[in-house]
Amino acid sequence: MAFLAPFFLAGLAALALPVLLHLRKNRPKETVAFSSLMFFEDHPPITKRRARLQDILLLILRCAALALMVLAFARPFFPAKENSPAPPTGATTHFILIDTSASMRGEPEEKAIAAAREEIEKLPKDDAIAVATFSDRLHILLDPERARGLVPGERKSTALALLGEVQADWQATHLDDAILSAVAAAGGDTPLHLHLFGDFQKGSTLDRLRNESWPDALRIVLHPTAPADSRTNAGVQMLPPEKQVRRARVTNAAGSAKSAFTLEWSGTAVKTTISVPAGESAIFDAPEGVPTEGKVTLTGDDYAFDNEASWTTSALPVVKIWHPSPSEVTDTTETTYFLHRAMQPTADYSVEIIDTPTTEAPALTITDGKPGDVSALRKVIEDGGTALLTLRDVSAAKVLEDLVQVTDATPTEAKVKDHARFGEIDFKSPVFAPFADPRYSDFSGIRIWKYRVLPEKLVSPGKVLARFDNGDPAWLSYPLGKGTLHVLTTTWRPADSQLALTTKFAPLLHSLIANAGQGRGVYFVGYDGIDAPGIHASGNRRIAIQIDPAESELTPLPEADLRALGLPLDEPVIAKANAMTATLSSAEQESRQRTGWWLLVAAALFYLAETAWAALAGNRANPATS
Amino acid sequence: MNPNPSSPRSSNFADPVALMRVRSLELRARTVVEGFWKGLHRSPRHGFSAEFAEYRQYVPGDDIRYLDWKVLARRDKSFIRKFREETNVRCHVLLDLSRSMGYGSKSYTKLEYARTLAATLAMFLHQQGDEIGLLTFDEVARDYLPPRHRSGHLHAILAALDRPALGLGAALHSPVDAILSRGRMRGLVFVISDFLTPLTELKAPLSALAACGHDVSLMQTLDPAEIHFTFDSTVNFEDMESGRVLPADPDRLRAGYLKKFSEHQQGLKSLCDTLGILHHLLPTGQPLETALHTYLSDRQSLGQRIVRKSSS
Repeated sequence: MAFLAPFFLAGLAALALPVLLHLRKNRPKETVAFSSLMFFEDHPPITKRRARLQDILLLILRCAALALMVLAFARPFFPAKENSPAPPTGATTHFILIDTSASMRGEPEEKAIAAAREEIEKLPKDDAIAVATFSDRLHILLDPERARGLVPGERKSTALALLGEVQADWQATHLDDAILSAVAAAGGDTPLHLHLFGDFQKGSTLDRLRNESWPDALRIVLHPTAPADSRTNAGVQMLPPEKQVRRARVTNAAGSAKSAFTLEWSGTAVKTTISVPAGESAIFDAPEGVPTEGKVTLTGDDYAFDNEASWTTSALPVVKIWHPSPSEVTDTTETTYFLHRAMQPTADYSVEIIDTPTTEAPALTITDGKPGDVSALRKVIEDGGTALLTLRDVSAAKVLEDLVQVTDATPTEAKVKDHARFGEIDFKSPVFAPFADPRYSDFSGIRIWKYRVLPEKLVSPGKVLARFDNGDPAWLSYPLGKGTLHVLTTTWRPADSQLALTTKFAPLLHSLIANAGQGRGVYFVGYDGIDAPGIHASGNRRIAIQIDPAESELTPLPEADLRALGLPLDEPVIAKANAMTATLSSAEQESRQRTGWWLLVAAALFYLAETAWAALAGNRANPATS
Repeated sequence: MNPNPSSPRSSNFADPVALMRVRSLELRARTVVEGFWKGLHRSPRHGFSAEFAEYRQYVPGDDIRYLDWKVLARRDKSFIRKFREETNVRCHVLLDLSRSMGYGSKSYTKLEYARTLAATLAMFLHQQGDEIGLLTFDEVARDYLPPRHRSGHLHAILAALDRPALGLGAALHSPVDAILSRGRMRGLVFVISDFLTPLTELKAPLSALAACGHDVSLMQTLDPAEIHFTFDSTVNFEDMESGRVLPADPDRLRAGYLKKFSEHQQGLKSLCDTLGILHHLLPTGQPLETALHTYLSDRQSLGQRIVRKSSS
């Protein structure tokens, strides 16, 4: 047996404690006042055989429990035999992943490539070496399958050659996507070592790593590029204008050494000196007279990649919503009234509700299934539009039948006793994703009085995004051509549900607009395929693209955060060149065997037995004393 | 030598535990006295108390006006009623307030029992018209109320009895000195204590009392745990008076304890016999009324014994 933390064995010295206590216990704990000791012998014997026997059993129980606890903390494991059969040569695949996000531009990228080069040199020549870069997604340069197919002599040289192609882009760091995609790409059961080279900044996204289960054969090895001891990074982002005034937000990363910077707006000669404390952000208005298109430049920090942000046209985008067959806007019992109230202008766009389709495709179409021009609706969706159909009654489902082209399907009115509620919601779906945060995810307070039950024939072509608490579909989405049709089996009319009166209503509709890819006042790298910040043409308009603000957060991500997510992080495990055995690391063996855990369980049982026995012995105490 | 007294009719408080729950010492004493009276009147042996009670045997020369004709008719024995003017009995109750009296394995302590006993005696004697005095003591004499018979005196005694115990040990010579120095009139002296003191310390004061012609009665209140040593788990025993702590295994200690205790009791008894003093053991588990009856029986037998001794 070996121990991962043998220094804990020093705790065995604590075994002396129960022995000492036991010796001390020979002297009775209880003191009884007695009228006079004049009839007592001067040196009375103070022990009796029965008590001594009880104490010895207690002592054994206590010592055993303590020893088991100490052994558990020392994290014992049974090491695999040294001469155990070695895994097949080259069975391990090393996947080299290099961060190419915006924050890596320049020197960090060079450091990462150098570190990767050094690492590859050290790898056993028989192991397969795959190479990829990652930023917002994984870019595989040499996939594991092909890497394993290479002859051993070429493996290192191929990987090293590919490092020359590595180039940083302007994207944000999606570390979760990179790891998940790499593991998926490696596939198979062969041992996989992911070597991650990058700055591991706090701005990386990790959300998808939560609750993920990892293959046993996976080890993740971090190779962080060492940041300078004292560094400062501040980033600037343009915000949507407010009252025609352009605004920029300057964010200073936590841990920055400096807090004073200068801002320079194109079109003006003024350089504004600003102060933003580390870890905070501040918003600055552009001086008067800035042109309709330009850029703001920040100076004074150590990283340049996020020091520029552009702006262009001042007008807010207008999102058009086609709402066929509207009812009176003042009719508070109908959907149109609530639609108009929910579709207020936002900081990013303003909304125009139209009742006839225009030549330009509407961003969103919302209908409650009144008989209308189904063919026009179908065309709008198939051309890439997004539509929401709410079923005001059973006959409204006819529109759905026509759109998904299902016949002889008869929806029924649900028999609702009292009321129904939203039960199961797919928060991974784009519509409900904005509500995934536990602060917003409670839909259970919304009562639904009436809804329509769709037959299976109508449900099966689509995907159920939400169900009522009895399992009936509440929200479905159907892909139609290039677009998507969403169906809500009830409506937000007060006669049908409380939905329009809740805080979920407007965000839900705006979420549909965002999913339609419209209405954003601020565009990040990656929008419409644009891969660099600055002013670009998108369709017939000019848009300003900036880098994701999260990328400016350069504070190193604590390794503990990654471990907390359950990632199988470990030191690099490289088989020695002259050894044919490759044993698992001690930590891995220990964590697999869980000997310490069982020892703790045993210690707990011993303590229980000790408590029971002590209680039993205590009950024999004589109550004849006052 | 100790004839079984008839058991008195049990009052509601025949159980000492129930009696001790009565907070008022006066009420407690009254309860016992009333129960005792009832028992006394029903007892075929009533009248044992001779000079102590209101009855005593007729001796030639006594005023025939005071002869109890009912008793003479029923029992064919001559008793006279004794009135205060004639008895002129002066009683002293000496109550030990030392710490060892604070011990009790029951819900009450020896001291509570002893206080009740003292109060009962005081009330009983007061009702008979006797003069009753109280002297509390520990290592020194504390409260002293000289024997009186006047209104309010009984309440003063009861109030003095209710005071908390402060002392550590018990030394009998101080109260005895106090009595001897204050009054030359002989009388009854009740010493209520556990007498858990070396006999050598008891001998001198008791001898002095007896030598001065006092009729001394030792009322030894002991807890059943002290008499039978009913401990069986190993504990630290702390001497209530000296504070000395002794860890001990009662099983191994019991024989030695009982032997020494028995020796002490025997020594006390023989000391009392030598001095003509009545020694009466009152285990605190015993009802007070029974204890009083036993006491009266003991007095009677003591009187007979002394008479026998003197006549032989």
